[in-house]
Amino acid sequence: MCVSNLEFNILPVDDNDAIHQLQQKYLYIEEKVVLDLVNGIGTVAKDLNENAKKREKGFSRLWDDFFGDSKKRQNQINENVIEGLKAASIWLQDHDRHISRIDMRIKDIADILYETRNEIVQFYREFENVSDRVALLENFKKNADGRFALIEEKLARIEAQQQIDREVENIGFLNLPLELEIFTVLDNLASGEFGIWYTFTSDKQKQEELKYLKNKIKSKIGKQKINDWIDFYELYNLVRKLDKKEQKAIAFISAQYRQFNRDPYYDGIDLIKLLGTSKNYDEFEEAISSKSHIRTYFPLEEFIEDMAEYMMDT
Amino acid sequence: MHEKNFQKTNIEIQKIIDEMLSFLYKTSEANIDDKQLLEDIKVLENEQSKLDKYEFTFAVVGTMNAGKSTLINAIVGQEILPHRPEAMTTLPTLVTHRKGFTEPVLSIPKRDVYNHLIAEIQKTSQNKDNDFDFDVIQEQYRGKEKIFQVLKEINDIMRKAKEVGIEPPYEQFISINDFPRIEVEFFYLKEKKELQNTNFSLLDTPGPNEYKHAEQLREISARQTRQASAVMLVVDYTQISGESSVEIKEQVESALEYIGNDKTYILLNKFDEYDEYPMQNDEKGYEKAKEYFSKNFLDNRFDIKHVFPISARDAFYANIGLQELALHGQIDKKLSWVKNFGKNIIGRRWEGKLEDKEEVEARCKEALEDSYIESPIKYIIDQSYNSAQSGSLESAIQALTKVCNNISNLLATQENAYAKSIKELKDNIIKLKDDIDKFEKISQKIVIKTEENLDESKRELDALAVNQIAKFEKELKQFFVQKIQSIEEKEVESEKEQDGFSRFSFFWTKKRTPKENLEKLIEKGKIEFEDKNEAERFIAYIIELINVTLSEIQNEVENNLHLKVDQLVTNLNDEIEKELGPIAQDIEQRLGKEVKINLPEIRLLDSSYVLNDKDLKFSRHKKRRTIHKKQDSWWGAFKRMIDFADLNWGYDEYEEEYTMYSVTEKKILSNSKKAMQHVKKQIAEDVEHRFEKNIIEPVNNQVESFVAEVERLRDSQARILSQKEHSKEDMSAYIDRLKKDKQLVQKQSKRIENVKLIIQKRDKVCVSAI
Repeated sequence: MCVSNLEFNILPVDDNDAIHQLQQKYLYIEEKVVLDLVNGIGTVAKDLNENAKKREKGFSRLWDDFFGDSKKRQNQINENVIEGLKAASIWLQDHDRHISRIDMRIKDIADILYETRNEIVQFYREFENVSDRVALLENFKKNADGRFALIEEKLARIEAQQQIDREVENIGFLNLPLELEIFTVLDNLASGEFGIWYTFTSDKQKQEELKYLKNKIKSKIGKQKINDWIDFYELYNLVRKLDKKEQKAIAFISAQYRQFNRDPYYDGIDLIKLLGTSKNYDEFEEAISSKSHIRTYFPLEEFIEDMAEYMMDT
Repeated sequence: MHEKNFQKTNIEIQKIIDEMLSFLYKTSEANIDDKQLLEDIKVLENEQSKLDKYEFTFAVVGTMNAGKSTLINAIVGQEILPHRPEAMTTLPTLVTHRKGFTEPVLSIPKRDVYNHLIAEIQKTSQNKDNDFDFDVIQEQYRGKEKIFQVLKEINDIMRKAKEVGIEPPYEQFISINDFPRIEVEFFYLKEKKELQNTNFSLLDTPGPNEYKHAEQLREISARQTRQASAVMLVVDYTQISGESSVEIKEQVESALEYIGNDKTYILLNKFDEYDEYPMQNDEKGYEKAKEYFSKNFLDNRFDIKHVFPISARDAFYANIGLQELALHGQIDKKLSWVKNFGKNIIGRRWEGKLEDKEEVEARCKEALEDSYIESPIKYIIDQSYNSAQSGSLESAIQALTKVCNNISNLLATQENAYAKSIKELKDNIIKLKDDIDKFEKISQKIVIKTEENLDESKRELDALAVNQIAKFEKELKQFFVQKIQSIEEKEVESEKEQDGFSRFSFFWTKKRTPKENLEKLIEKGKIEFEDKNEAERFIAYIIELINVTLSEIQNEVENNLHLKVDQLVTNLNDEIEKELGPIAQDIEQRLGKEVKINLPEIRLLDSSYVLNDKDLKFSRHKKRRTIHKKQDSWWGAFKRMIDFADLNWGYDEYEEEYTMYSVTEKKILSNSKKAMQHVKKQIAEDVEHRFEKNIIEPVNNQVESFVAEVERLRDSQARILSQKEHSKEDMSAYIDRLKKDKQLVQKQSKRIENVKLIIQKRDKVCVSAI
């Protein structure tokens, strides 16, 4: 069972106040939590399918029944799925405020779940309401299909650039270390309408937009700072001064990106994740030293370039 | 660079190597035929191992009886090397720190060489009714006594070989790993955690004055000493005044010349025993010794920071005392070194104090502190550590840059090849072959042109030498005539003064006139000096004359040659650019826009002649002459008065042998000509060497590597062609993978550039701080 995919379920999903607070800065955090949960269900469904196929015949099944492995695994999965389905269904019922790229991702997973719904329902038949919950996904899928089709028309290029300008202006006002402000701005752009538009636009257009975005951030920061190296020690200490919830949010968001794009070329995202999860500076430094793909010397300019590419393309 | 920064840079380089290696392992699986990839893997693995472990070898060189062995024993903390008062004929010995080796172990990697030599000695000596009995040398020996015995035996084998007329096979000892090596735990390094990733060795090597007739051995030691991370030159400070001072100064100078200044550290041993400053082992005496030595023995030309007064003896006894206490909790009175230990470390009535462990330990620590041994060792290790680290980093950066460049070209070529049609690829491959042929032809043309220039330079040199030698011959002749004239004039004058009485002789014996005498001497071309100093002065003048002539030849050749080579290099580079440039551009276009082909570029290397003055010696020969000593008596005086026929009446006659120093014009001329011919030959060889090194070799090497690179890229295209011909799959997946790979390699290139920037930036900060 690939429980590790659920390890990022670290935000208190029941704590509406906390989510609301974080949402002021991290605009799509709520959707991300749901995505995480739905993704968890997706992973469980996939895992169930594979396990079911492998163990439906022969000695393995007998073995599992005899030693209770089957029951253990099932219980473990159930807890995650039920929790996830509960949160997802609440959100899906209320969801009408905007459309984002995260919704797109939820929809993609829902597509898979819809296809494998029979297996899920069969496996979870002991939980009466599971079947209803999964049916909700089906409704969401139907509604979303039409909404995403309209996005490219809705968001013209000029409007896309205006969104970039608006978001980049926030740099310097988010009360975060500079690197995290860049990360947050990029995340808000990538997760929202701009992200959907970027996904559907042509390669040529993508390149132009990416260039515009990078230059906009660089000029906002100024030539002087752009050539600096990231001071890991200072950055780590600034992150430690942030509220615990915010530290968790940063770790959560970066981890979610990594779930969908594991390309080791992009080390900036791992740097952010380590900033949010390391217990102390020694642990952080040790992690940087032991991971060969993470640069020891990171110029700010390269951070902007790489993070923009990575987050927009994920 | 600061230690922490070094570590950080080191970590980053290791991380880049890791990334590149895992990429190369993966890529080489997909490109099994590509030998360059395997070569790149080897290069990076080698760099990785160099960064993992640092190898330090500190050569210890000493002036005669300066306490070199005592110093080594002091650092090791036990008597590991025998005291060796006589000149050394054996090879240098390595003493290596191995944690946990309390009992020393001697390894002899070249034992077969010694055993073969023993057999040969025995064979030869049997014929001469002379029997030498040596034990067969084993691979390893344990324990101090055995080691002493074997080291002595090796020394004897070498000495005996010479005695029976066998040249010891010194040529078998090239690498440092060929020498005997003693492995033992160094007491000094036992607790030094920061040196865990280092291999630390002391090389006990004979100094420049410690050889008898083993020139080859001197060369071996010199090579190893020069390659060492640092050299500790041990000087006996008690010998710096009085009769030995001149000798010591000469020895220090020759040692510095032999090993170079930059990584040499001078240890002034026994500074506390120097009579003129009693109680010197305090801060004041320490500084005084440093300054005095630096000023009087090094003429302030050597960095005073590299001079360290020490007391190796105190350090040695303090260390073995501490080690004994650590091992056995007390010092046994029966130990062989106890007497010296007691006298030196504990002082008066030491026997009674020996049982007080705390007192003995305190005294040892005090003596260790007063021996000042810590500061040089720490300083030398720090300096060497930094230089070893920066050396390894530099070499790793160079290797990484080269490998990244190779791979980038390969990937760009492959990416381009996937995008091309089969027909285009086929055409490309044929054209690349043509380009390589063209390239080789042009490079041959360049070599021929260079050789023509070389011949011309040699002819010019011959003409120049003929002119200069003729000029020299004329000047020498003139000088000889002048000298003979002045000597003759002086002699005539003195004859006049001495021989006043004979002018009144009744029977004047016909003597040669001064003019005739002069002509005769000039014709003979020989001057004889009774005074050795005068002969030396004369020879010195001649040598100066030869040197002036030689330096004129050298300057002229130097100027002409520089101009010639400069011009030739410019012409050749232009030609390369003109002829090879378009081909390289074509190749680049054919292989892909991101492929960068570097044209061969000829760069001038520095090289200068080493001219040795031919040693012009006057000949020395014994002559006999008759001496007439006046008889003291009145009878003698009377006889002298009536000796009108110069018959030496009134003189006692006896014969005396005396030395004459003669300088012959002919001999000087012939020797000088020989010297000049020799120098001319040297210059000619040097000119040839310069052409070879500066032009022919770089052109050949670069063309060779260029051709290899293009061939490799061509092969890679051929592989893709065959893949395209035989597979029906969609190639877009391959292209996507290549794009990703390219991106990854580019990222590593960027990281390397960042490391270079960091190093540059820090170096600048360091320089400005200075």
